[in-house]
Amino acid sequence: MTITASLAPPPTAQLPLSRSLALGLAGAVAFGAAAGLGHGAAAILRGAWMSPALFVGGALLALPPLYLASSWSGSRSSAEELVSGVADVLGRTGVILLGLSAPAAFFSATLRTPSAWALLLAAVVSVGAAAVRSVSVRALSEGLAAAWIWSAFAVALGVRLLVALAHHLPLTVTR
Amino acid sequence: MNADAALPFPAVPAVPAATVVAPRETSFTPPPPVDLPPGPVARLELLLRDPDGFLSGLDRATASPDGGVVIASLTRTLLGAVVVGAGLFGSVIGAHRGGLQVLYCTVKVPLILLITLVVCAAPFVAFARAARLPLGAREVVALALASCARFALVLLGLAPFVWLMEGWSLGYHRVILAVVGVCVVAGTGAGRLLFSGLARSGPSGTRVGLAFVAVFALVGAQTSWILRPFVVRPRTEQVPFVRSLEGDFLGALGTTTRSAMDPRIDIPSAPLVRTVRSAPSAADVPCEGSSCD
Repeated sequence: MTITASLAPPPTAQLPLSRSLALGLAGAVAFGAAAGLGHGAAAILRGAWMSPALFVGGALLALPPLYLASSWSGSRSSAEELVSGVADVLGRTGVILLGLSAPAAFFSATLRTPSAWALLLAAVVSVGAAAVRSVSVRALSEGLAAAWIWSAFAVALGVRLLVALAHHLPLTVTR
Repeated sequence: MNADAALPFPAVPAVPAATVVAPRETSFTPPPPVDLPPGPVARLELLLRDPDGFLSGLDRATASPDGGVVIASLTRTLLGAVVVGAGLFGSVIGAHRGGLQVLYCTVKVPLILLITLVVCAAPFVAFARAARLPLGAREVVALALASCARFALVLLGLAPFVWLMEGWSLGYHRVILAVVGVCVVAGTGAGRLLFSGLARSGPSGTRVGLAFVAVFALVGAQTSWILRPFVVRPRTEQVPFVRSLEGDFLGALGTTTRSAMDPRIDIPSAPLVRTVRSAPSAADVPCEGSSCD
């Protein structure tokens, strides 16, 4: 299709590791801060550390089991390649979170019902699930069982992190 | 489609001129690339009637050396369509109440689309980047704006239906449901353009389109909520330009649906108190809750 040829395409190659990590971190910080925007400075600060704790922390915690699952499933990816792949997915997740910062700020400022909790949770879960799927497809394509097991572990890890951070959530519902 | 173009045409045996019918090879060739027509009306007609042709024209415009000028002119046309189409639809909604509300709605309905587009532009570009679609920010925004313009044009086309519903005095809640239904139809038309445009860019285009639609629908619903009221009950005395922040769209839609099903029930969304009336009548208690919009 001509549209693909005509539009200055963004680079499809992987970003350098440091840039991917920085992008993931920046996106998570921006999203968390935006989610707390309508609830005061304290909520902004809470969001700004909790969101990276969830996304970047979750990626770090899920990395060792990913390496095990990858090696047990017969993959020949080296540890360096796995780290690089996870960092790339983290960078792309950061881009998505950066983009979602605008709607997050909008909802934070205008939505003051318990639906705000549900919406924030849905956004975090959707982005997290997409990231887990992306890593799984990329790193564990040779072993379906390993992919499922690691994905289940990563989801459980995300839930555990969410629960641990829940009492710090930036939203305080004012009615 | 390009692969199709490389296929040799089947050999056609020579036949007498009198028996020649319509050439069949047209079904094997892709439609020729179309330039965007020069006039704004012709462009909008292409957008409404032939989304694929419009996207093809958009491709060619972005590929051409003077693409920036064409895109700028197209952007003005699309913005005009959003303002006029959604504005006229808004005036029909406002006519349910009449008076100043006609003007308010004429301003507010286009604002819903434009505010939503502004809020959603960043996530749209981010989704396209993260999915590695070969689309730049300008093209993503142009596609989203074109979808909004198609949405507004369909709203304009269905405005008489809403007017008819208002004329039948079907009641406040049913008129709201009619407006929501019309928006769903218009959204389907806009979605077709959006998904076609994204699907042309790669296999992950459909997933990106779903993410676009989810974010746009949520932000659009919230924008329409904060800019309410639109349909106002006739007995409401003072109609503000916008109401204070309270409740949310989904809660109010649930209330409206329940009220439309059972006219004896009026459930203000905040506070959550059920009031059961003895019979539907025009002498109901004045509506104070946020569901009265």
